Amino acid sequence: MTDNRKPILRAINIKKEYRLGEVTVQALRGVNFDIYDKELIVILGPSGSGKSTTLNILGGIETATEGEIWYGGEMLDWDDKKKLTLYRRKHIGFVFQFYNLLPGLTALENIELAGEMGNSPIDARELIKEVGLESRSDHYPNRLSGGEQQRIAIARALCKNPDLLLCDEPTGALDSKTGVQVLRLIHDFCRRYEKPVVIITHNVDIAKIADRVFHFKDGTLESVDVNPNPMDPGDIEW
Amino acid sequence: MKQFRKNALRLAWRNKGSLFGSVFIIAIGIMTMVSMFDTLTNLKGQIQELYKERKLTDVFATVIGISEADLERFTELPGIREAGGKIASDVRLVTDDQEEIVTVHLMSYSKYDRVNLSSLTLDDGKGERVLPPGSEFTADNAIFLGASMEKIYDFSPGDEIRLVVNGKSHRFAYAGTVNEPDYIYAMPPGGAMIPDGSTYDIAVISRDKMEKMMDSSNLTEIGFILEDGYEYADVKRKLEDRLQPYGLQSLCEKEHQASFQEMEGEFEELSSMGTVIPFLFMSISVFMLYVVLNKMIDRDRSLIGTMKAFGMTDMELMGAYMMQGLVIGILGALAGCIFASPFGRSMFDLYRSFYNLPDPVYYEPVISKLLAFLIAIATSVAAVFAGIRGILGITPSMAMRARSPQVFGEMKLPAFLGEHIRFMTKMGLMSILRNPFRGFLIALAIGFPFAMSSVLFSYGPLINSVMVSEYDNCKAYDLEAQLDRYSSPGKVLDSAETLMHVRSAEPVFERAVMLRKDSQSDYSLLSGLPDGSDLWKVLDNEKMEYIDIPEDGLLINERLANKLHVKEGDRVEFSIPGLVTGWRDVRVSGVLSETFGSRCYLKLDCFPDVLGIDSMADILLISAEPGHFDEVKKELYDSGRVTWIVDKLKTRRTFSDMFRSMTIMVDVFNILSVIAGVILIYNISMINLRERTTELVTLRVLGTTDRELGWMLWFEMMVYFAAGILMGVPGNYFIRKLFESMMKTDSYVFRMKFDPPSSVYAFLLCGVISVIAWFLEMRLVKSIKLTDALKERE
Repeated sequence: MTDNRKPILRAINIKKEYRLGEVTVQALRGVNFDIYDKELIVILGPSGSGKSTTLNILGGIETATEGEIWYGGEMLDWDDKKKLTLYRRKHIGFVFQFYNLLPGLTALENIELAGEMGNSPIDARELIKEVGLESRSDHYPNRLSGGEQQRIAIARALCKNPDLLLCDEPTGALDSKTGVQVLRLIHDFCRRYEKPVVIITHNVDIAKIADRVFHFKDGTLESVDVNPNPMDPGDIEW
Repeated sequence: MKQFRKNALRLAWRNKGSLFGSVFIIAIGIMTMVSMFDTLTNLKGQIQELYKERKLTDVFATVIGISEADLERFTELPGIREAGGKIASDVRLVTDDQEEIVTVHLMSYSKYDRVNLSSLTLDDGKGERVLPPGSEFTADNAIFLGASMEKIYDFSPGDEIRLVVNGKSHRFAYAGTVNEPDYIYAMPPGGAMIPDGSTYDIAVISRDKMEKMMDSSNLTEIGFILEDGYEYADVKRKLEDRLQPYGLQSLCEKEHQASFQEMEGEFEELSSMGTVIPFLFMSISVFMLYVVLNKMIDRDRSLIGTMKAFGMTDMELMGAYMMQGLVIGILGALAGCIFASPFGRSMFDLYRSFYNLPDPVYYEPVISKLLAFLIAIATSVAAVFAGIRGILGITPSMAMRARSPQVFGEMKLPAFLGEHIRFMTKMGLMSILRNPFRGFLIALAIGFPFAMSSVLFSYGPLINSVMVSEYDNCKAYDLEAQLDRYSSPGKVLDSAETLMHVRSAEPVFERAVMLRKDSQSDYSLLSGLPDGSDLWKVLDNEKMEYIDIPEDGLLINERLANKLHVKEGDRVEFSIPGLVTGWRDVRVSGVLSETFGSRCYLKLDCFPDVLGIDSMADILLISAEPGHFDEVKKELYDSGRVTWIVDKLKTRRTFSDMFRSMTIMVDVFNILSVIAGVILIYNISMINLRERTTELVTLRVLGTTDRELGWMLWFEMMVYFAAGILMGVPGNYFIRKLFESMMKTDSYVFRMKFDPPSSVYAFLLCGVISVIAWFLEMRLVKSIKLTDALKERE
């Protein structure tokens, strides 16, 4: 299935080492994979397996010690901070575990913030309606529940109409019901806008909605499962 | 518990910059306090000891002459316990290679003197020893000089010193130095106001020798010690009446005696500076410690909750943080006390160079150090307590969940503004509007150094403008020659005709006078000036305009008017001891504000109409032809009629020297306050930035460029800067008034006007500090790893 398609992003032999005092920690030991349009990828793995590092490198917020990331026919230059910033700004949408909404901006303003940065932004008011929080537009993050904050964070990530949506434990801080609502939004984006989404999680149940599942262990991509019949987010529970 | 304290200290170490900054600021405050307090203790201690040991009197009078027997009878007056006096006169002192007219205030010494006893320090070439009260005079031809003059001319025991009295020269041998309780501050005649040992000081010879030289045994300077329970007011009228027949020239209580008054003024100034300046610096440190600890508690919130869950009490937890306050207080006090010693010594040396102090040794009082430690510890512990009292409100359950989000102000930008400004500007503006307290702290951190520096920067220009207005604009002459007697203004002016190279000359009258209104009375110096004087103009420094002396009465100084409770148009009683018998009723035709002294002015032509006496003068003001100043001065020096010359440039130099020393001190404070400002602005901005780390990193992750973030932080900093400067403007006014009241004495008052250039310097300085703080903020933002903040709860 994947062989005939042209990848939107290609990771080649990605290695990442950290120095902790005298000790060198190998977070990634040579990871290779491609990401294609329209697909929803879930990265699974225990703590310390390298999944967050992979996501950060894909998003250009962390640099690889070795290896290459090719995006849209261009290789990311780890030394060019400006280009990395522009890469994040123009192509990548982030959803964080703890939402990271700006406390001084209202829900709508938080979404508009991302829209200001994108090339072809989606209307912020449309998005807040889509995430079901239109009535909370003027509320500050401190007045929103965790689930509401995460829905706003997703709307913010989508507002710039990113080419790749990266989600770091998006349901990690939420109850299962709210988590499902959040997954639905992410899933809908992937399907409706035909953009790839990468979700990292500890939760194996979430993998059921993925097109492909990457299993990480000890800094390596141990296996890739292709899911011919991904489930609808509404059908899963944990 | 021990482990928790260890943990608290380790966490505090992360804020070491802020905490050491607080230590530094406390140290500045303590240094100021201890150095001022120690200088005051040294001065006051030895001076009051001298007053007591040498029996300083409660009342002082000068008369043309009174016999010892007549003076003794004053003790019969109710309220007078003791009376005594000396023969005193200003005489010329001559030594080899002398280029100036040197005058000494010569006083008699007798072992039977009862009050205002001279303290003689005999120098026999082998060493110095202070003679106890009642000692025999050392030798008939011995002379003791004020330490200031001795230091300048470096006399050795036995050196010949000649005194010229009534044109006759008398030879003496230098025997040592002298301190008089009523001449610690030896003010020269001629209104110079600042002691200058090179031309004027005190001297003492034996009573017998003095009587022979003066051809009189009558006492001229007398003093009275009052019975317990009596005040000056109780005896004043009686003394005035009883002393009139002896040619009463002046009568005043101790509090108005020149030297005593000057010293009390200095004590007061030191005391207020030693209180106000430390207070300002301690306030900054309290503010900073409060903010630092408050934020630290925010950061350690879950840790504190966890410790409470483990069973630690509020007291134990607070104790661990209070330890920091204790350590900061101790370190601040220690550093302050160490720096205070050299600072105090240099201040004491400054006083030594202007006053005849009985003891030149600087002691280190322990009490000031104990007090310093007490204040520093109490202040820092109190500040820390205020910062951490939030601990009391943290419950163990709070440790288990995220902190409740910060509540922001919900002020919104007007829609039109939101649409027309750049997005990052809008972000900055919203950040400011929605967390006004944070902004207030930063603005305050900018406002304080601006207010302080703008005032301290203005001190130098203030002194300079006073010098220019006093000595360049008002006193346009070069030399002021005091003649040996009063003559008509015309005759005084004629004496200038004999001098070569005189460009212009004017006669002036000067005499101590007394004014009274109802129960208020005070001494003043009457200056009689010629009509339309070019060499001595009278400037009102409040209105900043030259004043024409009215023809129908006196123009009096504001300080004098306040003391007498009179205003323009009132009438006062006026007396010129020795020249006018009894009192004259005179109109106050004008009141003016001056920096120095408390003079009154009258036109020479108006003497007959206003005072009922002929016009007369005793001073010749001279403006020399360019390049001939020294020749004119030499001519005056050789003239038999001149008893005293005031070289205006020299007086100005002396003033400038004194104020330069003070300016250096003020500059030191300025530098310290700038450093405190740097510490304050940097730390408060950094603390606030650290609070926003997640927010800023999120923006970077979302793709905000460094330039955009930089612009947002720059915009915020500039708004805080503008707010800080606005807050600093009333601060400037408040500190100016504070300094003005600190420097105000009976002899002078400096009106600390708003000085625009100084404010511009302070503005630029604070601007530079703010730009540096912004630059460091940006460096910090760039240094934060993007991945670090993403896993943190907001």
